[in-house]
Amino acid sequence: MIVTENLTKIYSTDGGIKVKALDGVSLEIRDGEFIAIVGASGSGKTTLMNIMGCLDIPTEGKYTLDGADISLLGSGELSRIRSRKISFVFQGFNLIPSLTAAENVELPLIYRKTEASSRKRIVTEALEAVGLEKRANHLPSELSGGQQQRVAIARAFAADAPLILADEPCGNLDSRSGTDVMEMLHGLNRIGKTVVLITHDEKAALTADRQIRISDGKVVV
Amino acid sequence: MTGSKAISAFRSIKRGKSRSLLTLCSVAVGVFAVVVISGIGSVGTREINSTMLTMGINSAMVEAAGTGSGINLTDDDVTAFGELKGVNKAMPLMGAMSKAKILGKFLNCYAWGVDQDAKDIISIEAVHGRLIDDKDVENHAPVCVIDEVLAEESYGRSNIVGKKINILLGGSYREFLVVGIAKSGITGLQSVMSGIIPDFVYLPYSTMQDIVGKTSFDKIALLLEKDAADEGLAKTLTAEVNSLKDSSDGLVINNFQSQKGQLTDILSIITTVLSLIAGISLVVSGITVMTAMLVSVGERTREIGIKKSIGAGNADIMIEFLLESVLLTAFGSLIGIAAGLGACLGGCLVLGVEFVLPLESVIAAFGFSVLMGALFGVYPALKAARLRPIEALR
Ligand SMILES: Nc1ncnc2c1ncn2[C@@H]1O[C@H](COP(=O)(O)OP(=O)(O)OP(=O)(O)O)[C@@H](O)[C@H]1O
Ligand SMILES: [Mg+2]
Repeated sequence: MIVTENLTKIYSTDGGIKVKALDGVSLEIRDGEFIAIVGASGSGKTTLMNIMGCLDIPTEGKYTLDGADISLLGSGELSRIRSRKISFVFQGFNLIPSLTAAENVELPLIYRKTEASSRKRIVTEALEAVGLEKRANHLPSELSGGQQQRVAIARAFAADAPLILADEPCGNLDSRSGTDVMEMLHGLNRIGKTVVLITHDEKAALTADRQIRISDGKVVV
Repeated sequence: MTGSKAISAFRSIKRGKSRSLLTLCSVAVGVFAVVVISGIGSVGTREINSTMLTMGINSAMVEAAGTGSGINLTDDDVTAFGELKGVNKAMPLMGAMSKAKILGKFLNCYAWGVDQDAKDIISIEAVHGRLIDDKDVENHAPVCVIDEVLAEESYGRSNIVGKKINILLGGSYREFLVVGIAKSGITGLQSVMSGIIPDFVYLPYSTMQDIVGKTSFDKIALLLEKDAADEGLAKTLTAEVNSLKDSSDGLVINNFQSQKGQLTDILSIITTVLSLIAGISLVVSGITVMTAMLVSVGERTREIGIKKSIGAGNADIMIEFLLESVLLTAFGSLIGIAAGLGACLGGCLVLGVEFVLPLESVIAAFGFSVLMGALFGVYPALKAARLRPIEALR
């Protein structure tokens, strides 16, 4: 369960200019929901997602994830929360180029200290779920964009975190692959994951349970 | 857990191929130098020990403590010293640094003036021909016995009995007939370190006295009844020879054992100093490792961000990078050790001496370079671990 109260994020650039990327965002996301966050470019969507994903901390305001106040935690605890509770799917896939598809999927399990014996099984299952079991030993550079994004989804699947944050997961894909990816995110939602999808695509946004609209760092509607 | 980290560190090394290769090389070269130098040291020490062991354990030399002591050693002294208790035999000795001109080649050597007792007292042995005998001494004959090495370096074979060679004595070269070839004491080592341990030529002492214009001797060699390393015997003998010559401490007694000690001391000082200098190159390669790792951290910022976003903690990233630099140095030093030992082994084969593994130095060089890798790897690893995930991801 995600609760934000009055979240404000101010970036200070090297030139001393301050950018208010988030301006008093308060929202609530219940477990198991499929949420779409929509808004114009530069409106603060990614900033919000970074805070929800414990990659960044707000300048002001409060963010509680499953009852824990994130702003009170150190970097060690944040990384532990990321490891156990959150999976990201990025627009740019963010796979490690030197690792094969299977190894990329396995990585979060290693950081989580899952036993080697069960890792193999989980990785196979995850790759099967996205239909890439035949590509297990390919490097990201040997896969198409759509396939790479499917590996990223398999990685989220394997990590088995309750919260999935997807920032424009279809932004770099053709419409066919985009539909596949959306379908897989819904699949994850159906098995109980909370999915927060950032998107420009109104049609994709409409498949969500609920839309949150952001403009100039504020939630509208 | 650590296993998979090691694999991923190894991958990263493989990926940054040319940079990793250069870093490996810098570590390898440093370790190579240390291994080769200490290899020369241990082979040299062993050679000195083994030859000196066969060379006159019971022999000692009486000589003036310093130049200009004004003490002249004469025939009477030889007789008197020979009658001292504990002394079996005494022999006059002349000695001078010299050069031999053999077949147009100038070779450094040390010329000994000896008599027929040289065989017993300084234990030389003829491999061809004969040694200096009493008639040579009596006749002041222009004959010589030379080390096998000298023959081989000039003629390319050991038996050159009957050839005439020139030896630099008293300021000019004089012709000598080679009557015998002596088994070279320190064999291979002599050819490497001819500056420190020269090759020897042996002449009748009387001939040598004529040439340098002396009637006295430079030293008197003694053959003792027991081990010359015996401190008590050396002390009483020193007192006795000094009282015979009416001097308080103008004469000293040196034995070959103490000379062996001096030689090995010199050698060990040289190799230690050189090894330390080579050790500095290991520090330099540590810095190279650090540079390479810093560049690698810079290049992999995004990768670090991705890893952090999927749950890697600071410690995970830290260990990954540290492992990489340690693996890099460990691998580099293994290459260096292999190459260094190979070079030592090859050198020993060429020189025909027995190879001695400088095990301690090999372990020390390996440990030290891996330590350098770990130490200099800490900063880049910390830098990587401390990257903030959003900044790393951008
Ligand atoms: N690290 C940063 N330093 C300074 N300003 C930043 C930084 N990151 C984002 N911003 C600014 O904050 C505002 C919100 O950025 P954000 O990336 O959250 O927008 P977005 O809604 O994700 O846009 P897009 O749809 O284009 O991805 C923008 O004006 C952006 O320029
Ligand atoms: Mg964005």
